Amino acid sequence: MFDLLKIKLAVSIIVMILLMLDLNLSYVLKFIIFAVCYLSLSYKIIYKAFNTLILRRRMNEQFLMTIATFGAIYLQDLSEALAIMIFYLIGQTFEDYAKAKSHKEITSLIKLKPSVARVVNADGSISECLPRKVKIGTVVRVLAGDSVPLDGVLISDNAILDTSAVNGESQPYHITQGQNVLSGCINKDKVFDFKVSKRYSDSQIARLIALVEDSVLNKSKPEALISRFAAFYTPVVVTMAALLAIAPFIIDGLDKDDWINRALIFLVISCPCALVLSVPLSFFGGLGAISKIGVMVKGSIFIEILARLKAIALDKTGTLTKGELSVENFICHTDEQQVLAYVKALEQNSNHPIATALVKYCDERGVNACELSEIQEQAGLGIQGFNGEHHIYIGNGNYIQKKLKLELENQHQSGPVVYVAQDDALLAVIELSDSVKEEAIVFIKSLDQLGIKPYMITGDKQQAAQAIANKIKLDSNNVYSECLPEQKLTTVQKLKHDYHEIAFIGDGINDAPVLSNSDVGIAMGKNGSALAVEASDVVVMNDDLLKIIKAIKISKKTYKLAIENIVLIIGVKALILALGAFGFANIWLAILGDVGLLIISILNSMRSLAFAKIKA
Amino acid sequence: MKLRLDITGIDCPHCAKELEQLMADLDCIEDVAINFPLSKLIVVVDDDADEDEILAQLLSVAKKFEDNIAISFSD
Repeated sequence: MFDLLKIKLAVSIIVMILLMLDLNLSYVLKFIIFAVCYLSLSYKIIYKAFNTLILRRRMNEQFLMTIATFGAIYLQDLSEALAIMIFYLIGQTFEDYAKAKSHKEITSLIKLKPSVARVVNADGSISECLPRKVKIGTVVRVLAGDSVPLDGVLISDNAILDTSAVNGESQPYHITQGQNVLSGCINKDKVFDFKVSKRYSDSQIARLIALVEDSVLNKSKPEALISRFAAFYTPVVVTMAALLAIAPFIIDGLDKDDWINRALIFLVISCPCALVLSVPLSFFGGLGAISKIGVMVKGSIFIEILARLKAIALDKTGTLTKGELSVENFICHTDEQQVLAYVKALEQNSNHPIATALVKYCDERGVNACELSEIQEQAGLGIQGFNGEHHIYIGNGNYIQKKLKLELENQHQSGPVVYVAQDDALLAVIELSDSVKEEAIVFIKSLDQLGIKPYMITGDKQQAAQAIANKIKLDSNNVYSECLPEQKLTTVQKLKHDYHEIAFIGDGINDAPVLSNSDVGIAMGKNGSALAVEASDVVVMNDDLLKIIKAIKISKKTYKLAIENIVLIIGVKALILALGAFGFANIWLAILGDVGLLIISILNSMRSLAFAKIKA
Repeated sequence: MKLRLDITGIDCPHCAKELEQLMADLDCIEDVAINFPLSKLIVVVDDDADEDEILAQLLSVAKKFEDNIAISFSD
């Protein structure tokens, strides 16, 4: 069908040019050639125009174009009549092209939408199934190079996944048996099997795709404005066209042909499609570009706010810091290896975050646990054991003081401190802290360069908060510490009052109210809680703070592009309308103004797709 | 409750806007948006609304608007 249209268009263009040349043919012959061409090209459009008008009492754009061609035929400008149809169809084709292109290109996620899941049956045979029909607990096979259709747990020994579409991470991700497999990842290595753990509608890929699709619900102000503008633009222009056409019949001395010509110009340019398509497309391309770097934005309104942002409030734990403890200082009064062997032997029995950090510290130093018996844990305090000769105690200050009746010097620490004691002697003091993310310093500096003020809001103690603020070179006046969730909320509201608009970056469960109350809630997707991701407006898939900087830069460019398009389109259309009304423009200029503008503005808006390539 | 539907057969983005407005006027619809480039229709409805009933209403609005518009639930 598409090729047939191409042939029709090509023939029509030739006929149009022939008609424009002053060929020595009778008007009747010219008209017959024209009519054949015109009808074969536009019978569908004319049918649709009158069908809608008669059955639904509504003027669609096909109707406006049809009336415009009828006007041109009345004026015996056959080439113009043909030109209106030709360029209208070219514009339509281009619109379809832009639509298809954005469908494919705008988000790399859509490409990863799994169309089939290879279910491994009990007898070992494989049957292909729609992902949404696969039940939890089913075993699914993923071939090399295929995308993972559902979320699940790896059954095969190991697998290498390309997660770039899901979180923008370029490094291949290595997982072993029992670890989670996320849908939307691509199998970079050999075939593997996994057991489905979530329904398709709850899977990572379905949620991400829904995020992109739903983004239309959150429209930016320019987009909302255009919807309203479009609603009155067409009726106004068509009414004006009608008035122009009637004018010579009411006022004496006006040339009928000239004024009908002016009316036709109005009709040709009456469709606001360039505006209605290109502006959302600019924002949509921006959303796509941001999704390519692994950041999901839930609507163009947030691009608009990000582009104007003057202040950002940050949570500390899990946002600026890694959210996991590590050993900062190990002060040992005796044989270090021996002490660490005790530490590992005891702490490997606990799953407290501190224990995990301590075991990790021992593992990094290749320490083997020694044999201990009579192990007892007092949850949240400490743990003890017996090595046949001595009792070993590891715990916090209170635990050690109670156990050993030992006076400990009062220390000013930013993080937790753990003591190791043997019988009644102190062996070692271990200071832990939550380590700052590597990129946090660059992040704060980049925010400064963008003219955005960072504020830290945390539930943590003042000393801990200040220590982190110093490390990342954040102004200590901008630190709000020891905030309960509701205090976080009031602090953010105060900042919102000061700056008009505020973004909040956080990850914890207690951040959800703040995330949904700020103008843009940015959630860390990897370690962040599902609730925080749900309550937020922007999700950073791999927790990289610098991705936020990049997203803000893309937002600024996208917003600028959208405004450029609005000014360009309204400016050109207004100019042609003015010229047309006063008789300085002809149909050709109007056609150029309509279709040319559509193509230029769409191409211009598609530039936003390439914004993912800008440097952070 | 958010429903995600595929919508095809709309001529131009401007028509999509008009149709969106007509759908928004339905009583059962709280919020509606047509994603023209992705051919998606997103509607927000009451949590205990009957999905098939909603689809029927959307279809009847679309039928009155133009021929050839098809709406179906996304998978």
